[in-house]
Amino acid sequence: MVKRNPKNELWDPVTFKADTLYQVSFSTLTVWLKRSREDWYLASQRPEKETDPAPLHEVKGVKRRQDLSFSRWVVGRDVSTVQFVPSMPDRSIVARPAVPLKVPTGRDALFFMSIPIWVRVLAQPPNGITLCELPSLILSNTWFGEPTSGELCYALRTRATRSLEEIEKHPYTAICPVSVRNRAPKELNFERLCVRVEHLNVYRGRERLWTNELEVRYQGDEHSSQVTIGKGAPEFAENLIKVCEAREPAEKTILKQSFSFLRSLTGF
Amino acid sequence: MFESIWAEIVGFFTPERFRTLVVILIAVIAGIVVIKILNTLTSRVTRRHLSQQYKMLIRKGIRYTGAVVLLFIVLHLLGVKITALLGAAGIVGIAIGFASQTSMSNLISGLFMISEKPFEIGDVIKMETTVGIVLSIDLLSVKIRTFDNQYIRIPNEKLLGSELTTITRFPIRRMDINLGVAYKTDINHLKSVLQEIAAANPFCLDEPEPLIVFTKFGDSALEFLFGVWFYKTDFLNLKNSIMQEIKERFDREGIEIPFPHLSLYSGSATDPMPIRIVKKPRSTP
Repeated sequence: MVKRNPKNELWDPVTFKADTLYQVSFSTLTVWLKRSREDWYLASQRPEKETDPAPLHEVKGVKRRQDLSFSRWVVGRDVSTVQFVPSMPDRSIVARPAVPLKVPTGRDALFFMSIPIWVRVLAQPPNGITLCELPSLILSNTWFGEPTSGELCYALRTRATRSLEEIEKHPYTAICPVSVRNRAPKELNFERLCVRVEHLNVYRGRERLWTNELEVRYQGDEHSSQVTIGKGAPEFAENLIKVCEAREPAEKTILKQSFSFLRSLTGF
Repeated sequence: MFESIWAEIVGFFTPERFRTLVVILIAVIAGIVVIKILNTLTSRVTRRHLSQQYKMLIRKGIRYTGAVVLLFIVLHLLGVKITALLGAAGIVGIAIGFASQTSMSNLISGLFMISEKPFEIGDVIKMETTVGIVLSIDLLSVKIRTFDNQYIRIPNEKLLGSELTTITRFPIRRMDINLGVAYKTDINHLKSVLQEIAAANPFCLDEPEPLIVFTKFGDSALEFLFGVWFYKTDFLNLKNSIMQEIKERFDREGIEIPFPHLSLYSGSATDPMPIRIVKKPRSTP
């Protein structure tokens, strides 16, 4: 007997009946779905505490929940299959290690970061109509760069774990392997890293979701860090299937000022 | 009578005059078409390279210059001597110049302002008590729309001579919230609560970090400045959410926001004023 893996089943396409209320849980996000003859009704909720993940299932005995705010989608009569696709957030993420890290000169370090995914709701067939995208976790905004000319990003506190076993298997996160190579003449204070998640694909493994591997070559404060996005799926898991294309195609090498250092803002 | 008027009209339209009128009509139509084509072409060429106000200025320049040129062509076709007219226009121009000093001042201020570029169309500006979104920057005035949907025209001369704040010039801003808490409050606890409130609010930027400053020992409270950074479009979202969150969290944590109060002493420095409770006399029916 095959062991049921609800985390994995979350991303499978499901055909569902009309006039019945359905629910799917991504631990931190619950989506409610109902189909009439031509229209789909969609609502989402964020539970106060994490719940167990559950693939799309019928909510018996309930036709409609009054406490939910449904949006209505005109999709057509022939559309009866839904697929939830894990995608990357729509803005870059500034990851800050919970404990500041230092990488001595000439050393390399591999970290694993858990990036909260966005859930893309696709109505099928024929080609998949994207109804909406829902963040699995609401991340706080943050600013990367100068106050006069920077970039709006999402803030992410990361444990920046060094081994795969330490990473918790959440259904709402994708693992991004980051190799940091310090090629500067001085140590690297890894205080924050801007991850351009819009260039990352999402891969589905047996138990986890993954993104492309990132290689960051640090060459000093004065130089831009060289960020290379790995081609294809990372090598840390077997039989990975690409489930979501990057929002923006990745160039071979992105020269970006990826590391930034604590800056004190004075005056009020 | 009607016949005589009709005869005059028919008499006026001699073949030569009729030809002139047709030529004028063609010239006016052709002129308007040329002005429109020129405006479209310049809009396309400058679409990516110039800001909104420069584009608007060029459009207006083409329109007014074209109209003047067209007027001279029509006058020329009508047989009016342009040189004499220009001479007269010079004299009239001096007279108008004297009469419209304010307009000229606004015009020159407008030119200075356009070159200085303190704001652009779509920016939110504040001048004295007026706050609004810039709708257009013209040679004489700037038009803004206030948040309660009023249309305000500010003369350029006034803008150039006053302190002007472009609220949306930079992408991020800081919202300063002045807080007063009771004197018994544990300051370290208060600071950590405020940091948690900022961290939990998605509109509040993680970086730059929130500013918490103990500003003064107030009359009734310890006064703090809580400054949180936000992206310029999130002003209302942040304002609405964070104020409510502060109040709710303070209530939960037992942090008191005191109202102004006055202690009365009778002689001794710290002893409270003695109070004697007196029974209310029973009223007689």
